Amino acid sequence: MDLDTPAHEIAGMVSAGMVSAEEVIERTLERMRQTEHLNIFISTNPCAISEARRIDDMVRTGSDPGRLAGVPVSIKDNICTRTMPTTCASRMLEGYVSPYEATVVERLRREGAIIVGKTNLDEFAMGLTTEFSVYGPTLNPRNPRYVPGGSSGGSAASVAAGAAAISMGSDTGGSVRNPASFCGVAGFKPTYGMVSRYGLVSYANSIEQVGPLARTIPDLALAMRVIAGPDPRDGTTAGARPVSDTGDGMDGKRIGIVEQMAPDSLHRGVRAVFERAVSGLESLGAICEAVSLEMVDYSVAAYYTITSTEAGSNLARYDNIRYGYGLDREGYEFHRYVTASRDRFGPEVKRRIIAGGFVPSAGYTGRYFLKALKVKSRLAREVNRLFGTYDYLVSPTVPVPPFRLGEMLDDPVGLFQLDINTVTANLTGKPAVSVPCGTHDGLPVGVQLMADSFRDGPLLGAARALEGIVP
Amino acid sequence: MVTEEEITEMAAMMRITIDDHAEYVDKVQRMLDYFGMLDSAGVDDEEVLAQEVTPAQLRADEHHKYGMGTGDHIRAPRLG
Repeated sequence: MDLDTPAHEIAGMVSAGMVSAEEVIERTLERMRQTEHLNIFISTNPCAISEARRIDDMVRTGSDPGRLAGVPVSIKDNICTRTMPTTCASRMLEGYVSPYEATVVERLRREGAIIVGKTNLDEFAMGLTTEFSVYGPTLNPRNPRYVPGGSSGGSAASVAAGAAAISMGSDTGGSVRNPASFCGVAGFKPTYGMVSRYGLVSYANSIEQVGPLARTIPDLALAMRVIAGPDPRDGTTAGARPVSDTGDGMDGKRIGIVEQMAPDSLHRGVRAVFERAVSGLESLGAICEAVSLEMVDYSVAAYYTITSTEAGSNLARYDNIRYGYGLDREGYEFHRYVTASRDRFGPEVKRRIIAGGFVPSAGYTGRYFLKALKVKSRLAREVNRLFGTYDYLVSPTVPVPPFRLGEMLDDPVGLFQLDINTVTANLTGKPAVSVPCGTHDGLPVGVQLMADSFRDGPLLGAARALEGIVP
Repeated sequence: MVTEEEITEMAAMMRITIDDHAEYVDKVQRMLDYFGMLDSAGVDDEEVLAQEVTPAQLRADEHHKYGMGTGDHIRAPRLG
């Protein structure tokens, strides 16, 4: 067994006693030490070895160690854990340890997964390069001079570097799929309601989902089988639905190529990988045709209008009154006290809070927020209409390959536009997956498949078929 | 075009200190100008899709023991 072994094989070997969970975790911790320069983890689990020994004891005594027995799993640091801090990569939550555990973490542990550490992210998941972290940027394991994508950049990098077999990220506008594409791993955004958000620190509740990253599609499906399902602690979760990745083949499947997501201006390296992927799908018998989603051109503006508004509301709770950190109250008037405490937010978060206060404010609601909701509704109608004819929609995951650290830091709107292919799935609640399909100049490029709501299983089946033909 | 004064006033209302003009006012202005493209989306006649949740679907206020012995809490109505 090496650290590139898929999670389902690791679990099988641990359950069969062919390798001990302790050995798996020791080797993973060693890999984490070797890759410290990539700045992947914010904190590590001091109990990982003892938890692995408990799994080995279960195997020895004939108890069922679970479907993820001994599998090293990393968790994005905006998902609550009781044994490690949850910082959201922000000074605002420095040292915060949650008194409860997120449902996804509970379910992973129950199936024998070993949480090895909490991964770096853009502060409060606002960004798509993992450069907006108070702990510094994560570097791309494929080439450390390049960004890993974001905001779940630490999660994607942990899987790419062999420091975890599976990682849990959160996807608000592409934050699982974008870093998956940039780091050359698979990433999945489930249908809204498939996975509990209980314990996910809120950024934009109406569209965000917890989603897995892994080296293979079967591992994404395995993770989904563990974490998906209704949760009485999250009223937005839907009823139980099976998640299989076997699918029923691609022969005769109709796939829409979204014109607006592969325009003439698409990066030539991304286009080359994308066209090879489409040809591959056709070679499996799929029927691929160009389709149009007119609202995609406005989707990014609508997405940032809605998410900024929800962020402004969600982050209002960080006022250092109900909970917070030690700030001397002497000499402060109330409002100045709150303002002083909120100085612990980083610049990107502050900008989005200001924008989030502005767009729903009196006099501007009709111009920004209401229009964004209408674009969201029109987009949902367009997408639903297409899914009346097509089984899947396909596009590049990100319109460009990974770029150098710092290259886009001063261009917030330019960064926004990189989300153009991913936000549609979030605004419409649909499932979408990024499959690593090739490279450009040695840097990974992903291809995205999207399906209708609650067709997560068939979508993973299609992704597995695509994965199978990637050279 | 959103003015600098409007952004500065909103920052104050959101309890955010603007200590670097280029970092905050200029970039927020660019963000809001970008959002302005929604004006040309042609969606004025579009109905906003919304899922209505009636009071009967909300769960009741209930008093619960907190699981880890750190005190009680109120379970508030679920808002869908």
